[in-house]
Amino acid sequence: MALTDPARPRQVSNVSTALARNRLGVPAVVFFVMAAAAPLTVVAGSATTGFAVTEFIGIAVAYLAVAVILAVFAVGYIAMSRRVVNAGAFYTYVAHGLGRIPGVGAAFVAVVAYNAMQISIYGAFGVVAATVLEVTFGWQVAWWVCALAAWLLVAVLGVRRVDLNGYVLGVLLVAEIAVAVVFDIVLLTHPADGQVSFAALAPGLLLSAGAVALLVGGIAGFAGFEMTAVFSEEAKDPQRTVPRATYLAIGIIGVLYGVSAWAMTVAAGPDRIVQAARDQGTELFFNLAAPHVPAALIDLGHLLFLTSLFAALLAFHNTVSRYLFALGREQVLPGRLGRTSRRTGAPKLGSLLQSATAAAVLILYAAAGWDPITHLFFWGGIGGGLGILILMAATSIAVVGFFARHRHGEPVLRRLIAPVLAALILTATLVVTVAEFGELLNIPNSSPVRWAFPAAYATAIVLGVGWALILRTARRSVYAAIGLGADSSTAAIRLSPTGTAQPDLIPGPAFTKTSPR
Amino acid sequence: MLADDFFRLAHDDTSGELRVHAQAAGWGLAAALLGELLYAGRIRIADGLVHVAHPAVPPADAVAHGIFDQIAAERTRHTVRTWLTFLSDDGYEQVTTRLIRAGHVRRKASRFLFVTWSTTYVPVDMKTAAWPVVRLAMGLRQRTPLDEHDVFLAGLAEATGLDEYLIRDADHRDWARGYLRHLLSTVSAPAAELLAHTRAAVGNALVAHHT
Repeated sequence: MALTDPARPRQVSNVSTALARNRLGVPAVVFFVMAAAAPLTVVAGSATTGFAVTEFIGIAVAYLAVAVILAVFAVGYIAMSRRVVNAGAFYTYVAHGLGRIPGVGAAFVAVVAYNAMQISIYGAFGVVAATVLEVTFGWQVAWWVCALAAWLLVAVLGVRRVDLNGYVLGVLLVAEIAVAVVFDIVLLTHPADGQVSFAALAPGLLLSAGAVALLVGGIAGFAGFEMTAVFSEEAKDPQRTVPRATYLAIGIIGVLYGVSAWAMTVAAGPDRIVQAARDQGTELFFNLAAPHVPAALIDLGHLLFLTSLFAALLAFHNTVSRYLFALGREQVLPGRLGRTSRRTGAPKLGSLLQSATAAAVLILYAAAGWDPITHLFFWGGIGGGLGILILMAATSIAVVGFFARHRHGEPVLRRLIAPVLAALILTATLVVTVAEFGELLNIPNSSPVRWAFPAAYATAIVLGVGWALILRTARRSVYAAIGLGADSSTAAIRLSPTGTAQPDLIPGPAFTKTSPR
Repeated sequence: MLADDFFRLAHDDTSGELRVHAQAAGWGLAAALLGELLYAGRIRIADGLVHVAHPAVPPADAVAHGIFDQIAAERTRHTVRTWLTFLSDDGYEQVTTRLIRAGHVRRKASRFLFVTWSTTYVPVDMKTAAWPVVRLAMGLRQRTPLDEHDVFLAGLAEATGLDEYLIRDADHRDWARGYLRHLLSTVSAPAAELLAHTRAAVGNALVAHHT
């Protein structure tokens, strides 16, 4: 049976056809990504809390600005995602673009950041669930009881590797967006002083230092959009599907957040929104719409708000446990983290660790009597956003570094101009954010609390870099596999015959992404 | 045959229930099917690509023959990972078909309200079904030499998370683990590549957020 039989008819590859059947199109990828974004969590939770804590009406325009920044960031990010294995996790980009040592630092930052995001959401979930229970059944339940109930469920689902089904998430997502859009229309058609004010959308609002720092809150609301890159291996057409899905997701999310925040200022009045947000908290979005829509729709909104928060809790929980798993597989963290439960395939130890961390924080907050919204939901969300901002700034620099060494025929816009622009904007935002962090949390800049998160990330970076340096001298095979995640098991076969690692982590032929070139 | 033995590793010897999660079993069976062709000298694995060996002689077994033909029919050489993905899709069915034909398992559908909810493949002879586990567990526990077929099988167990199950009764688990590591360092380069890709595929399926 000759393989080059000239009589063999030109045929389509059976294997490619079979695999193509399972590939994802643009809508599927957008759904996957947006489901993790949980729109109502941001619109009803983060935006209202943002008004109350920062006393700044420019939240609306900040969300739109973040969408634009993320779109610029995504240009280089997506171009690079096609070239690296284990795409989707920011630290792999840093490891490939800037080297393994900063890569481990970035990985540690990511673990702290996603943990902060996840745990912060328990605050909002607890309060909203307690409110719903009181309004519906008249039960008086402390927020932390509800939060711990959600914690238990997340802990069990995480260990058993139960993800919310894609269709369930899709239906919830569409319902959430529908409710938000209906509320937005209602709010915009019932302005406070009889006329629609565009005050909250004025770009000039972004010119102050405090406003720049506010972008970090916006970035927290988009967390998870980086996951589009995960699908580059499974997309129908990696050259088109992933970029389109990413920009579409950023666009939809950005407009939804921006318009919803703006609609709230219109309905409450730009001069009264801060006070209203302080008085009504996460109920504001619903209260503003309540006089003009049927009560059933408000109830549905509350229910979807809860499911949205819960979906976000589970999504971030899984993100953390999978990060720990990938790092365990690389043996950067103890190898036990890289093992999965035999029967369920869940990253058991990572999941348990995340749950334990969350439980410790929740118990601390309950015991100390700290405010679940301001001190947990908002501070934690901003703290997580700061970590993501650090990762994004480092990633955009890594993209520049990566393409400086491997041109790969990418146009200059994608490999240089957009990533440099993104790096400049994100780094500047990062510097201003750290400088204004106290302002952002609404505590005096002299208070030591304002340094808690910046210090935590600095520690994570120092620990990560230090650990990477130790690995470089003590465990060279582990060092060589940094940034490969679960693929690290294939690192050994990539070692050159002399036993030294190849100079970079560019995938060999076996790992080349399926790019039709 | 390798895939039959991996199937027996991955399923309970009496009930036929899965011992690992279904995705891992799928990747393991796919790798075992490629392993059969590799150890029979019908394919080569180099630089992450699967090649048909020359002269191209198809194997006698019908399932292996079918897979061999699929590999030979492709105009381009695909990566190990591509073949694993491709075979993990219907590898399970291929192997169960072979086991049913040989009279090793029988299909048992669990029905409720006239709908088949799940299908298990119940071993006909418990001794045959339990033998691969016993063989590997004894070998690892007592650190006796294993043939290359069993070393590869142990490698698949490690890649799919079954290794801890195999050494669960060992007096000195660390010794057993160390011996397994030693055994795996002895496999040929192509087989090592196949095992590494299996391990990575099982891990990646988790990292990439799929259920």
